Amino acid sequence: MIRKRFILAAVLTVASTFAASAQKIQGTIVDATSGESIIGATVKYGDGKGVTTDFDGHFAIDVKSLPVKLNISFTGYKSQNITVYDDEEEINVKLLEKRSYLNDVVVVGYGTQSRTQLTGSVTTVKADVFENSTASTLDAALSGQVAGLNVTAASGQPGAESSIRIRGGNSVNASNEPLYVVDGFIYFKDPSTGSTGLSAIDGSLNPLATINPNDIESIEVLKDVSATAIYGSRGANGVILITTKKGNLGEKKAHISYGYNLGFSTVSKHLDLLNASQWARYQKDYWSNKGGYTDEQIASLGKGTDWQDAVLKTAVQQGHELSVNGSTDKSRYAFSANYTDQDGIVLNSGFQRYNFHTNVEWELRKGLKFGINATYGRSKQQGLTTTEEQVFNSSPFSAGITNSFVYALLMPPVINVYNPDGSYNFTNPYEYAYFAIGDHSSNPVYDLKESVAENINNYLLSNVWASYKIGDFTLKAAVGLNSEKLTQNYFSGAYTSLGLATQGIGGTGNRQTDTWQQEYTITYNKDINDQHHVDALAGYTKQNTTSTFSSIRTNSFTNETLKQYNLGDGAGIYTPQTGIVESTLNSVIARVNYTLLDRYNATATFRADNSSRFSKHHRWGYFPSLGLSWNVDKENFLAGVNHIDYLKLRLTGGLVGNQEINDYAFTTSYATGSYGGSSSYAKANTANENLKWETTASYNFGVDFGLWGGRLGLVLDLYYKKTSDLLLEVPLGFASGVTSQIQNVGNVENKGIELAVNGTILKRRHFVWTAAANIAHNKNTITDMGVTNNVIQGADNQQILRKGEALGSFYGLKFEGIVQQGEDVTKLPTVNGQTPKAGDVKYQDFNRDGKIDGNDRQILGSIQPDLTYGFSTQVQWREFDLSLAFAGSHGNKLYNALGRRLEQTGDSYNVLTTVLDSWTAANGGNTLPLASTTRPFSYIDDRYVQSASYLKLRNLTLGYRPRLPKSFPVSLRIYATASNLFTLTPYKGYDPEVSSGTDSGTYPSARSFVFGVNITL
Amino acid sequence: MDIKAFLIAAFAAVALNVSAATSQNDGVITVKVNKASKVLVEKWIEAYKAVNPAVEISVVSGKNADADLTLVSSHQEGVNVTYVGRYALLPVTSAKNPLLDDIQRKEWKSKDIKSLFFTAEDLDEEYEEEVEGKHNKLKDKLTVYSGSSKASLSGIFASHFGRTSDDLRGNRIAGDDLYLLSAIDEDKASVTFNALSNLYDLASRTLRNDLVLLPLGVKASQREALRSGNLDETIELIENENIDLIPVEEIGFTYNNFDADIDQFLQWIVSTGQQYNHEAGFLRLTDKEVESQLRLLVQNN
Repeated sequence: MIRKRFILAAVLTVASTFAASAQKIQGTIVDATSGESIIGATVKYGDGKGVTTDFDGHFAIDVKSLPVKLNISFTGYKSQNITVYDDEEEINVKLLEKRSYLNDVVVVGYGTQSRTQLTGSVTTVKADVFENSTASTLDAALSGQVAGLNVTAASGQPGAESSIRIRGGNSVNASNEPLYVVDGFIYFKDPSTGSTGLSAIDGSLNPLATINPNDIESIEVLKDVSATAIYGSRGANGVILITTKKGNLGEKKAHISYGYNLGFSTVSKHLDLLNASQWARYQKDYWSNKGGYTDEQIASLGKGTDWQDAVLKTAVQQGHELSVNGSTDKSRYAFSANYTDQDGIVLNSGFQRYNFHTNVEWELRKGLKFGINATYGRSKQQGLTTTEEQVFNSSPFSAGITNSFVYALLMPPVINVYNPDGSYNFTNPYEYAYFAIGDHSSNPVYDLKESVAENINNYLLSNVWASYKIGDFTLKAAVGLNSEKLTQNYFSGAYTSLGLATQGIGGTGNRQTDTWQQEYTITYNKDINDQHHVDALAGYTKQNTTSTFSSIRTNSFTNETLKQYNLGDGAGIYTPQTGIVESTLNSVIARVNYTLLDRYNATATFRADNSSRFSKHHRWGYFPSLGLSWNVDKENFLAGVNHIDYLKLRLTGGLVGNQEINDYAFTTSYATGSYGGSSSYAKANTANENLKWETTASYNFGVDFGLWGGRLGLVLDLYYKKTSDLLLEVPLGFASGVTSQIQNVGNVENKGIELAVNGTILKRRHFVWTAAANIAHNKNTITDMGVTNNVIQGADNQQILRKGEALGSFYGLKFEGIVQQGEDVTKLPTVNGQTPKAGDVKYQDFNRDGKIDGNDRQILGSIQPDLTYGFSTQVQWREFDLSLAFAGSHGNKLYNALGRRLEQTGDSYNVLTTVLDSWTAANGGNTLPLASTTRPFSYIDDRYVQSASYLKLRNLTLGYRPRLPKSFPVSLRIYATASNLFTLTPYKGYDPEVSSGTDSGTYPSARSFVFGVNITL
Repeated sequence: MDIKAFLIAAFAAVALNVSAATSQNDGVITVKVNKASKVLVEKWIEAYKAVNPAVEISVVSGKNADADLTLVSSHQEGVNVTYVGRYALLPVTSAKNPLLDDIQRKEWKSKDIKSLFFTAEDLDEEYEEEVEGKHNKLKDKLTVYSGSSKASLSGIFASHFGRTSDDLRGNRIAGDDLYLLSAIDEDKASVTFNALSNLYDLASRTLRNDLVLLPLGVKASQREALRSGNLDETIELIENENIDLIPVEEIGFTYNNFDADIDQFLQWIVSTGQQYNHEAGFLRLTDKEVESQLRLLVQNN
């Protein structure tokens, strides 16, 4: 026996020796650009023999003798021939991708897909867009990049949120914001989670501030139903998939990058306000000349105090960015740390963020992968206090004094900021309405410098996953947590406008929001007979969100030194606010992609969602979709047409939903309060047992067209969306105990067309010039409002929801000029029972009843643009690069409430210089009435519903990569970026971009110049 | 069969298997070379041992071989290296190439070589070729062969013309660059490039009979030397004149170990040993390079 074993061992050893000297060829096939292994590449040799590469892109073949010819091929890559003469070393084959748009692999919900097989409308935005933009949040960089995606900043405040609409708004009261998915984690910010219950802080932190734009590898914007239906309940407003950077497989060397930028911002536009001499003259000529100025004194006053300049400043910003990424044989990793510090252009405002991000994955054993994505950080936004909390008939807010910045614009220029001794001046004899007690008035510079209005968010977004590939199946499980702790601090001392009446007021609030997500999927991916390709997905996901909040406010402070950190000093205590909300979403998902002959594609998607936000009989929502596409260029009849790179037709249809309303809207709830020193309960909501999903039926027809060897690409989409069972806040009768209730009432329609074009204008070795442009038209119409037609909204009743009109329609009187001297006033409609006289405003008598009143109000346009467009171009010449990005909007309107306030004449506040052109008997004038008249109505008119069309140069970047000696182990890029360099707009306020549609004195936008350096090891 | 005999056979086989990977004995300088440089290195060793008989130097090869000195064929960053010679690369085709007349009728300037050997740099050009069918007839008929192994000089050739080896057109070979000449011998309508040591017969000092150099667009006097087919005239020309069409790169030794014996051996190669470079088809270092390499060796001590 022993002898036999010895013989066997010896034979095996000798055999292995011969085998070692035999011709065994081994190699690895990688992508020439990314270095990543190519799985499934075909290696043909000899007489038709062949093998395919394994999970690592590796192959091994035995040949009888050398040399042997190999042919290596893989779909989408140029094939390569290699003649092997010796087997001394492994063959490393780099395959070059064929240059074609359709070979791109795009990220779709719960997976990736080749663009050739795609049926949906998906636009990809690459990392370079975010690298060129110095914006601190990704939404600002997205503006103008995607056809049909409209980004409107809420204000110019650093760290402020934007409104993003993909193909218009579908809903009235439910959210219209798209769904964000970060590395597979569904990241939706309920607007209520942005507040802790304190309402004195103007604006809120941008939910997207948790994502550092420099960590983004790509963004996929899913626009049509075939692409979004896999997110069923939340897909109605479109989906934005964010993929963060990973280490490149095959790049064994770690890449270490450090970037630093430093810049400054200034206000992009100044409003023309009266100076001291002009204001005193206007007071003397039209009002009571409270200052008692003589003509000589008026002449000597000169410019006086420019309060606008006093509260604005040149703001400094800086950022540090450190990232490390790379890979080993069995893992890849990316880490980054980022610090952003951005001062605001208004005193004592700004945004800071620390952000740490990691994205690591390991191949634990063949086919088994494990990964972690995590982002941890802290954002802090210092903003303005707002008077919005006190909305009543004679409140500062209803008078248009919305915050201290606006109050500064209204300050008479004859009032100084400081006393001669350098102390703050709190004397303003012209203030008698809102912000004065006795001889003590508030000072906006002091207000801004000493008030506190902070949003601080500590966040963790993490996702742990494992996947196992068994044959053609891949099992994947992922568990994620998004944990955010929001703290809001607010303090207005006794000498500030908000604290004046209460001897100081302050508060602090916290909100802890935890969202857990579980996701279990199985995918099946198979090529059958080179003719059929099947890619199927099924899975279950669950998301639980718990949000708790608490806030407290006190007033009447004796010591303000510690501000909100010593609320116990406040003698007056408001009722504390605490609460908890919980929501759950359980979902079953399924999708099948089928491709026949590489030409015909079909995608069937289904998602069933069970949401805790609806009544128990209506919690399940079912969202199916079907997408078809045809790669026409692969048909024989186009085989001879060389100019066409690709031609694809897409047709999709399906249903998606919206559940983004407050929790518990289906049930009766009560709110606690205080009454006569005791606790009290008031009905906050009345039950609606029929509350169900808002659903959007959506249809899309699209064409992808590529011409002339990648020189020109074109994407055209036509779509129609009908949203039914709107989640609408319907006014209720007094008997219900509440003023309104969310009901499923009405329909909204969106239909539109989008065109995106990209091209390479020139491509030489040292000179490459590319350009991209997009334009989109969307028509938004409310097609049904049930019995609740004509719902008027807004602090100045400036908007209306009306069947047949667009969401966000403005509603008011039509201005027809100023009554001139000698005009036949008998023919004019009466105003408040009076016949207008020379110098009065004329309005259109819409209902022709001979009098002007609320019934003469009409639609004055809407916030919906007719066209949105973007244009960007990049030039690379030797070591220099230049990029420009324009964005624009046409046909949308904005209510300029600030302009209206600043043209409201009186004896307290400053006004715009346009008031100097008010009608006078001597000079006429046809825009503003006699400056001493007061407004006859609170209704707005179309002078203040202004065109918000604009064309902005969002970004201009010039970069330089100096050629360093080879011995220098780093690459370097220095750059200069200008943002918002110019805006062409007829809008008369600071900035035509105000997402709410009402510009009541929002934080003005800034023009910034940033200089930076990036060093990569 | 006797168990003992099997055991001996098995042991011998295993020993043979691992011998290449076994580390070298103390007191022996081991040198790892590629095929193209083997002749030159062996000449150096032979001549050095003639004057230093006590020193033992052996040449090793193979992918797993470990050695004190490893010959490298390009400029190295971040490692200790002593440069010991230079080589030049010339474009070449088979003497039996059916397109030889067309090739020889042309003067191959830099842009022609780039166009022939590399993928189009320019989208317009590539488009015209690939899609509009505006083909460069000669280019389309000729297949380019280049090496894909780590030791291949393809990267040197490509970088001389401002490109990378990934940009080379045509087919690849796996194995020593010497096999590129086998490839063009088999596929006659083809071109490649190679080092002088592979292109010329070192014994007769003339270009191999089966090869023809691509006529380069150089000055008339320079053209004569290249046309002559004489190795020494070619070397003299390249050493004395800077011809931007001919890539010239250094060879050197990187070291795993450095001691007095190795130092002396390298100093000898850099100085006395240079006389053997031409014989093996290599260019000598310039006087300036000799001086700087000797200075660096002194610093290493």
